[in-house]
Amino acid sequence: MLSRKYDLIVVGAGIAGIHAAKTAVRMGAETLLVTASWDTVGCLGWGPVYENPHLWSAEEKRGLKKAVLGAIEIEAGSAVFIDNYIHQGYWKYQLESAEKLTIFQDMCEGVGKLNGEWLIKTRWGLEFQAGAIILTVGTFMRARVRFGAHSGDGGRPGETGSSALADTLVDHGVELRGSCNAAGATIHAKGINWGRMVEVPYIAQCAGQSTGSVFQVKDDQSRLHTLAPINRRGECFYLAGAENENREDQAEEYVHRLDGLQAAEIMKPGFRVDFARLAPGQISSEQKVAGLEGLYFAGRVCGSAGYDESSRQGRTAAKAAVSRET
Amino acid sequence: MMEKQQYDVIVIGAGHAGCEAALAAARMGRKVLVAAINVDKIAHMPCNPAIGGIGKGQLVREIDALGGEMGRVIDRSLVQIKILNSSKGPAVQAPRAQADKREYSRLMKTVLLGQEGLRLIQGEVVAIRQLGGGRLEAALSDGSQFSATAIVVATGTFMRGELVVGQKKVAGGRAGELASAGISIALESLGLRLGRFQSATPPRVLALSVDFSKMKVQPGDRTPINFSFSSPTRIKNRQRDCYLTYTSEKTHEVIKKHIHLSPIKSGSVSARGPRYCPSIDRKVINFPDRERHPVFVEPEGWKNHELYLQGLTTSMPVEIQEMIIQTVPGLSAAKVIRPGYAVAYDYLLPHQLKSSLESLSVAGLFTAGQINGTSGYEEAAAQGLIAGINAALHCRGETPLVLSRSEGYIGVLVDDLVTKEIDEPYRMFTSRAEHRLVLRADNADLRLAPIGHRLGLVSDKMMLQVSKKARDIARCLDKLEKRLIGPGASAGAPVAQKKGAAVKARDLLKRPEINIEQIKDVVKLGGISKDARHQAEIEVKYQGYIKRQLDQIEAQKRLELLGLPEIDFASIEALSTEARQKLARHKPASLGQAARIAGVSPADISVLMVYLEKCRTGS
Repeated sequence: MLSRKYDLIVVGAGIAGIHAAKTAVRMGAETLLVTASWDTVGCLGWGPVYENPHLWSAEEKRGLKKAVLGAIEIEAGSAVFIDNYIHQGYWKYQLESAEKLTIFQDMCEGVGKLNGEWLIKTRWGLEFQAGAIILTVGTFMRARVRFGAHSGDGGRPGETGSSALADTLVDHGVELRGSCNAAGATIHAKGINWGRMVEVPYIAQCAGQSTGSVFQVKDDQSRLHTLAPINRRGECFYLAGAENENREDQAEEYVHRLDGLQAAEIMKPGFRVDFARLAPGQISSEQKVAGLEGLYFAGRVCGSAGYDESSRQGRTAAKAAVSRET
Repeated sequence: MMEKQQYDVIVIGAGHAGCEAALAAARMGRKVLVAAINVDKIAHMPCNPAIGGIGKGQLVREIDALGGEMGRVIDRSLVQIKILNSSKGPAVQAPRAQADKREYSRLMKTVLLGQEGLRLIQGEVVAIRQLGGGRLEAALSDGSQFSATAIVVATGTFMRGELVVGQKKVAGGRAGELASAGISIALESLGLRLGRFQSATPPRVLALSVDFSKMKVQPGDRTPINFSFSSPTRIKNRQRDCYLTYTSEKTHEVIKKHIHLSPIKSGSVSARGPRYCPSIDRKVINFPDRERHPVFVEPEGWKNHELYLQGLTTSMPVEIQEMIIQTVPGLSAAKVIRPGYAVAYDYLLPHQLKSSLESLSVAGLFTAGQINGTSGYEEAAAQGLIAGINAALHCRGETPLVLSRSEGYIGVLVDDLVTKEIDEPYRMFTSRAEHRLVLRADNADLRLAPIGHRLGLVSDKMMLQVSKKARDIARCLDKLEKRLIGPGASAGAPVAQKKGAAVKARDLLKRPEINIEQIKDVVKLGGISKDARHQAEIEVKYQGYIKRQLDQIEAQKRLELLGLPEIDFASIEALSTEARQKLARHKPASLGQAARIAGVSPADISVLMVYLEKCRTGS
């Protein structure tokens, strides 16, 4: 039977959650990782572009070699393009193999306190207890997805969100605020006019392959967006950089106004998610909520952007949670 | 409407049915749109991570023979393969493969993305409308609209889906995924009737917490075969093992003690579940004398520590699931990673379909897969293939492809769906096929590749291969007929005739203790492929039975050829009331099909024959 008591519980298995869980078990903590869907573990749901993954450990760099498609230089350093399928496969197996880590698929619907410890309640009725919990629920609280005329529940298109968790957090004095994240469209290679694109070959940076390129496309104000292949086969490209430019009800028209994409066929439309995040000013540099012992947040739920930042926060929160004085 | 929004065929759903439908229609030259609610879950396996099995293996071989994709994809993503019932007769032997689920899905998606004439989009269809002039329209939740001549609805368990564990219910199509109400509403507004079914899946456990020493290893076949007739010979034999354990008395005690919490007893799921894929709670109640039930522990992929517990399907509350698992040898310390759950969903009553899987009342609307009340990826894929082929033929204005019950398991499947009362999820078995000796997994290519080739779905190269196999079998039979084996023949002691006159090799082969490999040198069959030799052997050994089945098929054909025009059954007073109702409901295409409808007796068939004769002679 699954233990109901742990040293640490991590809620959410996105980038922040997986790094938090990995860090915690490496420090020897008995950890529970709870997620609404184990199929989306480590999912790069906001575009397969990792800016500055310098935080990857040597082990991760080795293990993720095959997931890295290539990198280009950008103002802030480098942008690394990842094959999400391989990336997820690596993390799924890594975590399933980790000692001291218990994984459970269920939606977290609330937090509570019992005898000074934190408690989480799941949708199917289980309760788990721990001295510290790290919430890495991303964009899934009070979440609404929007693309085109579609406006419906969900933390990402097709995936269920939770409003119950947010309510219990507010009951404990946590302040939440509305926020919004956007992801770009994924486009079929077939309709792209390559002649209008500027090819940017990968640089040899990460310990991965460097053959291949991304493409830059201009909008009508001559700003550049990037079209990145989502895997080595190159059948589909992710349009990065245009996420916040367009209203979701004009998303398709926006893509078609880009130079060379007039005949592009969109596979997955870009989308926005309105969700509840932690109001600013509530967490310390260690990701801990002021005034609430043992409660930590990491990742997009804190209002941050970028996987790099999410992974940094996940590691920081785990280090603080595990080594804290009880 | 803008030119780019018009298609020949729209396929709604990219599960096993949707993928086959889309690929078939595109390969037949149609412009196809596939709308998937989640493009990262193409051809997903939400339940058993396996393809094939009894009855299902035959379906996969037939799908492959007709040019479908399932066989090829599983060959490239399997972790184990074996032939079930290899010690029994050829009619019940079937291949079964464990799949690397993630890899299967990725490969099928790659095939879709690489298919000329096919466009995949992510979106949820919320309305289906009939436009004028033989066109249909599908509207998506994001506001986009597409029109087509044919629409194939293959939405699986997502229609008004509800997830159930114990007493708790939550809307959803699968764990973590949103359900959809749009299609149900769309179909109802088109005048179609829906029913409600439920399907459940067992919990998954982490491999590191399982004690395999208490279980029996279930390896794959030593010489692994392929599913697809077109896959290259398997060279490497790298396979993962499955394991077998059993429930214990303690397991049954736990279930009985908590049976009031089972959704079956507590009534929280009023929908019907699959009789042949029952939950462990249902098994324990229905078979109280069984001391133990088998539990097959199956890996879900290569680099994957999740294990699927086949035989422990349940949607009892999670604590009870854990208690049940604990009592099974080898699983006493097993950690559940994903709890089991049930999903209740709308399905379309399939008597509303023609044998082409086109709706009886809405021209150009086809439905395929779990939406028609079936369970199983193979059953879904088979329907998807037929629906896709017929959607394409509909666009061309040609007669649809209808396989008869004597041509394939696919024929049996579709005929059963449109004639029987489907009041629980339908699953294929060899016992459903009355002609199973003729419809074998090993001869699907001979039976169906010519049809696939005619449709343009099977390559010339594949067709040459099949023709060669047919010629080889004929050559082999000819040699067996002509070669006499006398006493002292050098083929080895068990084969040599002890005394008496020389005997035809064919007659010698009829003996149960003789197999064709033993006599192949004497009869000079070395130049003929092993597969062809095997086929010839079956023909010889089962000659009598095969002839009987072929005769039955001929007799049945005569009834099938008697087509039924539009008849006002209510006006035929000599028919029983029930027959009148059922015939009006199912609208059978032939007298043979009418005979199979539950509630239509042989006496009613005689009445119809008299009626048809009267119509024909105008009296």
